[in-house]
Amino acid sequence: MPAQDWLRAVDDDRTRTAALRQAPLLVDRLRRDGRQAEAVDVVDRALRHARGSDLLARLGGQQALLALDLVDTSAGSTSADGPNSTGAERVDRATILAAARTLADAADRALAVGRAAAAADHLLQALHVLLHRSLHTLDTPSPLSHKGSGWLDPVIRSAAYTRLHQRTQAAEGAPAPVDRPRVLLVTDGNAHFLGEVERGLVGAGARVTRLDLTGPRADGLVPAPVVLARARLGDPAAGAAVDASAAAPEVAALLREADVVVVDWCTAAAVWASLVVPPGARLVVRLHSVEAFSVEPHLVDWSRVDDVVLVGGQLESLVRHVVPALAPARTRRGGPLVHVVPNPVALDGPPPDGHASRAERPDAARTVAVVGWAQPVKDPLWALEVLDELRRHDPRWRLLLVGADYADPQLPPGRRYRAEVLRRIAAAGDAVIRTGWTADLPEVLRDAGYVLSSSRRESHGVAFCEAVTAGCLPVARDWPDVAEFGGAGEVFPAEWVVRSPQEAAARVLALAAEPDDVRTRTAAQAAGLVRARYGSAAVLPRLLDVLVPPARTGADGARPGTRPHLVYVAIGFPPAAKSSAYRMRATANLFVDRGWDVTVVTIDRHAWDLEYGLDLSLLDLVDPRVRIVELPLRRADLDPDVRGYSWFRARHPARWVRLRHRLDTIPFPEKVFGPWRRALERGTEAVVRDRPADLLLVSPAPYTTLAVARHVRRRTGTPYVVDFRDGWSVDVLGAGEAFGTRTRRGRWERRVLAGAEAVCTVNEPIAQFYRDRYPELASRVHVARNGFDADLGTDLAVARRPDPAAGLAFGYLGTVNLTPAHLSLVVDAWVAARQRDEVLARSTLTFRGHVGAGWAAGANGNAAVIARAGVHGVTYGGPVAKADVAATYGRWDALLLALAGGRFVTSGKVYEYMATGLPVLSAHEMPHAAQDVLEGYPLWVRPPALTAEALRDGFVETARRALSASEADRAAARDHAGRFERSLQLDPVVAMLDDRFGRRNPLQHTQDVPPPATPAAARPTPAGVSR
Amino acid sequence: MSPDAAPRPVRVVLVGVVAPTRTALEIPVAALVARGAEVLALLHTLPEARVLTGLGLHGHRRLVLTRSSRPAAPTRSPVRRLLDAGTYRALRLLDLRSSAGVRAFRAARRDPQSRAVLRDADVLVALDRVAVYPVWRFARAGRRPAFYGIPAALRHLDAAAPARRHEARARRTTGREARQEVSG
Repeated sequence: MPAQDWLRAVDDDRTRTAALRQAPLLVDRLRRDGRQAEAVDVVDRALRHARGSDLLARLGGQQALLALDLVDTSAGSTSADGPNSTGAERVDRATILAAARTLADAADRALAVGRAAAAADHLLQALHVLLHRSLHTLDTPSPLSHKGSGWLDPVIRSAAYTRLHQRTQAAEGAPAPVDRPRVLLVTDGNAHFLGEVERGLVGAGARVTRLDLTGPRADGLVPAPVVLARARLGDPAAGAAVDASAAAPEVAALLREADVVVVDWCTAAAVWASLVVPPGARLVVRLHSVEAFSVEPHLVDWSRVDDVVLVGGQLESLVRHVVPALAPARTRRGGPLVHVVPNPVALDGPPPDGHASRAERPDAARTVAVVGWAQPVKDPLWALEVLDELRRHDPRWRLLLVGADYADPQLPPGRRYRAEVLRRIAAAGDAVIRTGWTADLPEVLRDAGYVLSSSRRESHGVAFCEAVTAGCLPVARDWPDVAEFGGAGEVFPAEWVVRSPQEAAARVLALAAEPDDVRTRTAAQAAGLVRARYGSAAVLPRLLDVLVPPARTGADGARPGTRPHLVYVAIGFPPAAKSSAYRMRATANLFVDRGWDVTVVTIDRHAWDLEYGLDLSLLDLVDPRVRIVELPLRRADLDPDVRGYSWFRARHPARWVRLRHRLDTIPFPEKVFGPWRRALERGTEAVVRDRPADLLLVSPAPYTTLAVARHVRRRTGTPYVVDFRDGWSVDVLGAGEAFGTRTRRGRWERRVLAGAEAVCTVNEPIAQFYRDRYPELASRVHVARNGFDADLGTDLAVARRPDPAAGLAFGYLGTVNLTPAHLSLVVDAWVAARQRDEVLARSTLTFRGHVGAGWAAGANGNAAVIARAGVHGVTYGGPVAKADVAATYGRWDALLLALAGGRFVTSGKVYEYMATGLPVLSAHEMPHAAQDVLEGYPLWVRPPALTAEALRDGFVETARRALSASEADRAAARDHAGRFERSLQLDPVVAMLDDRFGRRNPLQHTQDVPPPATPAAARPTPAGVSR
Repeated sequence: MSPDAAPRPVRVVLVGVVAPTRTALEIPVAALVARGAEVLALLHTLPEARVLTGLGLHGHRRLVLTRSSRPAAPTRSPVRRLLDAGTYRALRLLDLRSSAGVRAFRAARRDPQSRAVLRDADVLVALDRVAVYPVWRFARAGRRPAFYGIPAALRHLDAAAPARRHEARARRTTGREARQEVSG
């Protein structure tokens, strides 16, 4: 019925009732046809006459939807908010919430009387109101972007929504794995990200069929969302319609024969698949970013889905926050496994060697590119603001907009945004260049030196990554719609991420000010990082592990089930910014290199925020095949949220700590970490039961992990090795024993070490200590030294030459864990040396690294000592990310090696120091374990004693050596360091363990333990990421 | 507030009973200021002037743990003088039996200016262990975020930043476009 006819009918008493009944359908049709103005007339008139709460709720919802459709004046249509309306933010959000609440109440009422179809209609409309595009895609903050907004509460707290996600009876066990599985790839038309996946699946031996539900084969087959929603709530007619769609000849055979059904994008196709995929097939759904703001994830029957793949950590947090059926608390008790695997990007061509090799054009040095810009979600206005900022410094800056031009948006707010973008582009004149769509991105990007991600949300930005690998320097906005959930910092290094146009411009200008070679190197490093993280070679194996785990074969031709499996309990594994992280990273990588599958068990990465923080650049250095399981543990004693403290803790902090430490030792005799024992034991056991391990490697501290080794051995029979590093019963600082053999700790240590297949320490003195303490273990104690990491892609060799006129730069890099007295001695010696030597008088001493942890970061006694010496050229520059270590050494002329402890302490930094080829001044007790390493280093300055006078002379001597050292001296120094490369130190021990426990030569283990665990018959507890 | 008025900066109040060093404050305070916060310090032992100068603090005040026996503005009224003396003795007695944390809390509560600073704070930060108790008390009273150590406060500001940024940006956009409408 045309709107005019309806208006006449509703005015007529005889036809009014029938007209009102038709009103919602008519409004829906008018909205679909883009005739919102007429729809508003119909709704207004209908509301005037309507009676009955159902109809009023429905019309109220439609009124809210129309207000959101029309909230704009630029298209000349009705405004919901007056003539100055500027976007969806001007629509009263309270009105929207009220409309949704009314609809949800109506759904509950309908459900209570068994009207499932009506309940589904109301519920669906409530979701459409709350998830309207105007609220989530234009230039206002999406209400879902705030964790505490409770935007969806009116719906998700309704009885109808709860019924929708009631847990259904899951199929018994997982489908049996088959060779060459038949994989059905289902799309709703958008196959943009499927190409690489399909190629990977075919390469892995899967038989792949695509089903495009909008293609000619199956167009119109999937019922409308409203029918799907009704079917989900148990409406028989809708259920029959869905069943009929699955029985259609176009798809029935495909569904019947598929072993795995993969649905890309969580659209109506995913809802449909969750209703029709037969129980014998695995169902995998991959969500990108836009669906988190859409209705369909709320309609999917997640209890039917086996695995969910999300394309970024920030999106995982968002989706699990927004969709209650995927919240960790829910999935932990059963439900789909949730994986985070980025979109694989075909970046595996020859790596670019920075800008120089790609022969960028002259204007590129002042050109910023945005690739794929013409959508509101890409927020080109933000990019234009960055351009304005840049042009304020230099009017020669340009913005290169690469990609197809703006299509005409459907809704007025989108049209308004587009008009504003085009107006700003026109106003910018020659400063903005639009290239249009291109098939040859690297060629177009020869015109740009920088690439900007200005989006409101992203997975990791495929086009952005392509531009980075083409050699552009990256600048990524902290995507505001997901900023509270980790934002861009979750996927890119922190230095790439900016929070405002001003910050973006500042980063670009700072990069522009760097010398060409630095820019080239930075671009090459960025490209390498993107390749390592998002290139197909890195990502595809992980994705295939999820999609077709049993059929995939490894790079070495071995099936995953036939590769030896190491479970590595490594508390402090990257991205923890701890010194132990380097050794752990190298160990895991070496096992992977030898053909092992490695699963690392560690704690929630955000727990490290409470201590020394995170260094995300370390994660890039971990082999992507290493699987990391993070257990939800954190230190209660470092909790900084004062509001959560008890009265006792706030009032008597010292007594609270003492009491806490006493209680901590009840489960295991180690303060702070003792309470973690049970969670670590259970978590690690679950990992081993998920996939039996050939070897368990624990790396204390914390020493509670020793209990884990014993527990897992007793429960599953897995042999274990202890990588002791510094040892437990040895007092590395006091040079004696830390506790006796008959103490509780002593008994634990003896018990655990007695069952260990091998025990590793970081130097010979500690190894000898253990051989003496436990003679029966002597043959099992090995030394696996630390070393410097040569596989980081950065050469530590320092090219800088000292300038006596400007003075020398002395540096210290590492955690400043000296006693304040020791540090004062060093600083006093420095001051005295400056008075004695005129070059030193102009020189500086810089400390980099952590000074104090947690609340005391940068605020302990050592910080005070450094602060007091500020007038003598002593400064503190903060911690350094691993990726910036080489650059930090590159700014120094000589190094200060100040170490605590004596003959048991080697430290990790001594190896790195030597690799720089710079003069090294020792400021530690003698004898010291570091001496063994430094012996023979040609530029080592070794004061005879740890006194102020000796150190003073040492500083003077070091300055002299720095000024006189020739290129040959430095090369000789680096040669000496070469044998202390970390993998050379660790590899012999890893090789020994590989020989003993790898599948090639299985060892007969101790006989008094049960046989290794077999996988549980039922679906195992996840060991991948998260349930 | 007019639509294009900038939002009030987040006010962070640092409470310390042990005198902090410049290093302890320099980088963290700069980080707070860089995040747009207005940083004030309430310190029992005010460090030397050179420690606080140039840090970017927007203000600091001394927290007097024991009330001075010599009132700043002596009164001539004998009754008043008697009352002052009695109050002083009572407080002194109380303080003698209390820990430093409790004394710091009482000192902040009875000083109107300190009270005002703490009342207007958006985020409270205890710089040392002794300062945890007063911060805990004031945080509970005002239901505002409170942290032990500046690093946690920085993380809190980072987490809360997107919401504030968007509010500010929405207001700015509205104001600019409204002006364009008026000017035709």
